[in-house]
Amino acid sequence: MNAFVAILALLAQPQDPPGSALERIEREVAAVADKARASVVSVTASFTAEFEPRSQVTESIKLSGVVVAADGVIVCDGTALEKAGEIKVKLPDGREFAALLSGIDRRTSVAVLKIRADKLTPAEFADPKDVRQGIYAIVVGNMLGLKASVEVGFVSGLGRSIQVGGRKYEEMIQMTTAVNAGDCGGFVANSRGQLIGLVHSSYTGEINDIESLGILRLFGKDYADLLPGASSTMSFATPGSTVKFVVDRVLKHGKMVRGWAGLTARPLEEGAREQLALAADQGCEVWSVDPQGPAAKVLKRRDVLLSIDGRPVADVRALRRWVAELEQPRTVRVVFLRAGQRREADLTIRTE
Amino acid sequence: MGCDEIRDMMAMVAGGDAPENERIAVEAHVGMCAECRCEFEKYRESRAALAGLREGDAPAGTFERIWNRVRDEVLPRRRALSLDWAIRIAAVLVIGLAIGYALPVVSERSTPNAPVVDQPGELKGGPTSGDPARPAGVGPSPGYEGSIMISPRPRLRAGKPLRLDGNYYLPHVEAILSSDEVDF
Repeated sequence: MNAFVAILALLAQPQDPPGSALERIEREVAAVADKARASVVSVTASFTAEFEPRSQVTESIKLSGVVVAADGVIVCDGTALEKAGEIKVKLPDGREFAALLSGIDRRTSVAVLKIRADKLTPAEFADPKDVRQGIYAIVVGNMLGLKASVEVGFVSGLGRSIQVGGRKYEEMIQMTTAVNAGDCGGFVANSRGQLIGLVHSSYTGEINDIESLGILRLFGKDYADLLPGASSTMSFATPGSTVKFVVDRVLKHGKMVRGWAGLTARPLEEGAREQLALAADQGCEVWSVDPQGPAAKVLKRRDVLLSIDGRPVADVRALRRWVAELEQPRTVRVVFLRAGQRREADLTIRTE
Repeated sequence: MGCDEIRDMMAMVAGGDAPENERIAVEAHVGMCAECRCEFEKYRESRAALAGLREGDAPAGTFERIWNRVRDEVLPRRRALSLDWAIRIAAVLVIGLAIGYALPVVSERSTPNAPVVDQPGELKGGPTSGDPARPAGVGPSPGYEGSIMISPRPRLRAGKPLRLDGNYYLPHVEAILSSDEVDF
């Protein structure tokens, strides 16, 4: 009887798939790639520069994009498309469509495109809470025009701030995944094949060290790639939650709409909270104020924000999310410290 | 006065064509604003360069040359696949070395027809040229000492020629910034 129970228990146990651990990982990665690949498209943007009245030159660039809705909604990098005259999207099945640019969010460089197609395979967004350091970051993109190429790496950091093309991008995902030209806008998947981000940019350490290029510096930084060891081992992605936020706003309003106060804030320095006798959930420092922004009428650098609209302020990221989510201008009561003196004022948060 | 208004006046002020009050406003502003000062310096440099221009038609091909120099500024930043400059440098160096080496040999042997070396740029390893039509195969002739020719139209030795003829986009990160400061 005992033997019979033991056999039943053995049969009831889940059986490992055959093969080594590495083979099982391979199968998992291949399954992720298959799932993501169905949503990855190729985007071609054409630009025309005119030298009137003599001549004009047309150039095109190619990047990747991801289907986010079955009825033809696609996301890709917005900076690449800002000056585009014509945009075309090529689906995984080879069909090509002219795309309408529904909206671009310059702060995140996410563009939302619409094509006249349906029954597409949209990406499944990952839960932002599941995006952590150390998880897989599997990129499927059209590197160098090689359709739906796969690269495997890990999420090596979250909440990074970077500068690209003179603009600041915040809350970026840092990855070890090697990405190449053409991958921009590509699908960054977790181990379940869900979208955790869009490929944004790559970092090549030597690129800023122009002297290290030797004779190649005569021909500019693009040739840094020729040096041994100059290849990129760090890449960045726009988080899926940001992409979803932009898509929802653009589809709802026909353009990107977000709240904007026009200030830069940072957490209080260590010890400052105790010095100012503030509660643990109170206080962040105004680091700078945009002279063109609404906060310029109310706040100054070095003010300490205590509450906005009755909400205690301590987590600057949470504050930014709250401000960004406003869809209409709103006047809120701001409580702050200036030179140790408590003050209150009305701040009208604009939408942009 | 804001930066945008000041920048609208800069061109006239840099050229000395602006009214006195605008000149004073711009000079006061650039004294305080580093970004606008940098912009103003560019205007001044441009004006100085324009002062040296001659009148008359530009030589043929001028506009194409200018475009080739400024296209990376006009179009979004991209990572070019093209290694044409590197290939040109390599070609010049190899030809220079080869001429220095080959001249005495050629003069001794007086070979009438040197063999053509066909060494196409293969699609394996290393950086890949952005345009298969560009001359890429440069190398010494195996089995023929002291002579070299450039293959005029190299063929790719892949099963099917792979066209890598676009400008594939991926911006470079210029700087990694502090994550403490957030804008909203």
